[in-house]
Amino acid sequence: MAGIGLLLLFLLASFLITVFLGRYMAKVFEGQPTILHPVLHPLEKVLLLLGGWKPDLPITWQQYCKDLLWFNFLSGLLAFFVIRFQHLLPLNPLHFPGMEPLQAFNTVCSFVTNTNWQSYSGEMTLSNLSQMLALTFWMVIGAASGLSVCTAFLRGLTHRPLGSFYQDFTRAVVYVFLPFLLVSGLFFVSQGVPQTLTQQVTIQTVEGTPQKIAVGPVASLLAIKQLGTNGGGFFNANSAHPYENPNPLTNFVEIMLELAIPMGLIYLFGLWLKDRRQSWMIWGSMMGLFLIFFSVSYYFEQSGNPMLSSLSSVQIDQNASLNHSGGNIEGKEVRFGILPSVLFSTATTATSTGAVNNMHDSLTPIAGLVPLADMMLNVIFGGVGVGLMGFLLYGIIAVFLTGLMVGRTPEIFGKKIEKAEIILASIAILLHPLIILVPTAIAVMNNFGLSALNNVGPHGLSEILYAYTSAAANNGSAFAGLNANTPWYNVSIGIVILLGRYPSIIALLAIAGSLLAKPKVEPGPGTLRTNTILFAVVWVGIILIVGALTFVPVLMLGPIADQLAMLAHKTF
Amino acid sequence: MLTVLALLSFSTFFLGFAGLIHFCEWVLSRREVNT
Repeated sequence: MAGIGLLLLFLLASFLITVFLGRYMAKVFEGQPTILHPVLHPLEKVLLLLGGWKPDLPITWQQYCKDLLWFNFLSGLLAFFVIRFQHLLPLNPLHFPGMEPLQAFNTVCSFVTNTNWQSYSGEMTLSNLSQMLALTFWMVIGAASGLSVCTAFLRGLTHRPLGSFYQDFTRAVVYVFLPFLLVSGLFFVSQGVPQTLTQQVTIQTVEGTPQKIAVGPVASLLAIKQLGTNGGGFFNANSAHPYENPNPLTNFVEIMLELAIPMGLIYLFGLWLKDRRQSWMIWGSMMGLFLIFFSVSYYFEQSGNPMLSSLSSVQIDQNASLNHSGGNIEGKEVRFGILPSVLFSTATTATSTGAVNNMHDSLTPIAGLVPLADMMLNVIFGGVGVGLMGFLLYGIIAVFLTGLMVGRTPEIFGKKIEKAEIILASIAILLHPLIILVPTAIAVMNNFGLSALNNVGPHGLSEILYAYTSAAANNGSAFAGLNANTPWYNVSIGIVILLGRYPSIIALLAIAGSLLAKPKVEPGPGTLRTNTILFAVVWVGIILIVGALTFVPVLMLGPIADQLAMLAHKTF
Repeated sequence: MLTVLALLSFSTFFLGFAGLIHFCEWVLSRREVNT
């Protein structure tokens, strides 16, 4: 019953967040006053003045892309110097050395792109300055960049000038991230999450021995980690650590925070398009996929480990009861149990957040397939901004294909789709599997890839596949079982992260610029309506078909083979 | 040495992405020629 109640609360909170945040962001990115305008507008003006950026200057998609690239590149350089030379900088009370160059390359690629993949333990590697300036600060930059790009893309689809990157970026930081981070950060502090410049405290255990506990500015990092769909944790255990996720309430708030902006953007799109039915069609499609994936994962996790059930010598109770949650509890926090853990893992991989409150490597193989599939599709709510862009990209392909099938003119949101847009959309879609499957194949064929594994066979393949899928989807979560701090993995994952971020953004902004330049076509009898349930089925069907055709072979060799082997009492 | 190499690699990728903008421009311009 508690589980059903939690799911109903989740759906209600999702609905409310979608509407309220969508309305709020629609006003913010239209430059209209909001309730926070009197307080935050002066700050926006000061930041634009300091940056020397001219507000409200409509620019081309090319200039928008160049501004994004310049800003992210220079931000990345600064982050690189901070973590590489942290031993020469202040706020390093434990005297951590500078990060190794290849690991620093990987980390910078990861944090600038909103991925936040980490091949190190944050609390054992980074100084407070690095945690705040190179991680927390760049988490805001990465997320605000994604949000800005998405608003420009949506403007292109809704017949508005694309706007200016710096204006959008400043608005995203000042009106969206700043107030919500302040409130959520204070909430986490109220729940016991540390926020201090002390890096370590020594306590006396009940056995009387002293124990050192890592602390630091955790609450501020946690807030942006979730809201910005970033995912990089202060602690290596991420949101499974009691200081990064103290109780079921913070667990629920963390889940809702990572879904908030991706959901709000869907509603914003409908408002700008003046077609809220379209918004709900997209929202419903994504939520439907989310719930299906969640249900599969939950079923397999609650069913428990079949190998433990078959042991005759040991009595292991895997059935849920009043005393415990039952199921496969390995790698999970007992204080959360199965359902909140599975809901978290589904949400964090659907939204490309990458935070974890349970160890994905310990999921039963099919339940472990769900996070993989979430990231392979990368359109179920998705990361801040880029998830909705990916979903709409499939919409363009769906309109084109159905147009070919039923003989109607391919049009979407009042604009004709032509060959050039389809070429760019195809590049963006095909690049994603390419940068996952090729490096995975190289890694499994060579010793430099295999030697970093703790497991062999199908499970080992899943670990490598997960690493590259996480990187390509800019998710950042890890499957564990793979020592990613090797020259090969640091460099190859860094490159995959960059290729998973910018080429698709550039192609999508080019499509937006191209559609914006076209005259608006009024709907006629030959127009295929995109806000119907029938079209939603086609849209989702195409996403699943493209995803299945691309990834099912490798999933058969990885998690599906792993599950079948486990049923035959063999593990890897 | 590795530090310089890492910085150069990072810069080269961004240069490549700037080049991709021109590739997309080229794809879109071909459409105008064809029509």
